[in-house]
Amino acid sequence: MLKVKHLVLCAGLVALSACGGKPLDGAALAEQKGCIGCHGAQGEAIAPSYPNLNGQWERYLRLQLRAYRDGERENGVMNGMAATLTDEEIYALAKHYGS
Amino acid sequence: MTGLFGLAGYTHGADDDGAALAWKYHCVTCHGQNGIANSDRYPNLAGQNVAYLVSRLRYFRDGTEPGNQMNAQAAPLSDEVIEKLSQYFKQQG
Repeated sequence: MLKVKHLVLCAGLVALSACGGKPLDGAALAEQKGCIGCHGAQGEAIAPSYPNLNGQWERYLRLQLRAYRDGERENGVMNGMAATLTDEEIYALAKHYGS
Repeated sequence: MTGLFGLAGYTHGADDDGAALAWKYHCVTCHGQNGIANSDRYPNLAGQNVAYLVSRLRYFRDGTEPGNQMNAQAAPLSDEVIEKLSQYFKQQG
């Protein structure tokens, strides 16, 4: 049993290091990347012309951020905002705002 | 007579209230009758800001944002219908 636990722990550690270690802090990223400027820290938009992100599907947010970054969806503001995001950052931001 | 036609599909309220329009224009197929999408590929609309929803629907309708599956959906919408639909989904939040 101990051996099995050991194996699981090792596999977990290997997987974690392969992903680059500690998961990113979505809340800190949202501030750093300027998301909060329009969407607020908790996803409540600062003006009604911007979308609330709270209560939105996490996967939907991830798909939109990728589409903006990769130019599959055109938007004057969001293409620029998403341009430099890595997959890992997109994952963390969608997790922070989405549900 | 009006009642008979009105009954096809959605049966509550007037033909032009938000819920009936959401049914008539097929919003509910993806976004749900109450604005909670039936797949996490589609956005929830419940509680979303009216001004944002109005601007998105106009963009889609007018082709300001092309290449989206919403373009065809928004094509037949009048400004008045867009306003009513946006108000309806906002109120679902």
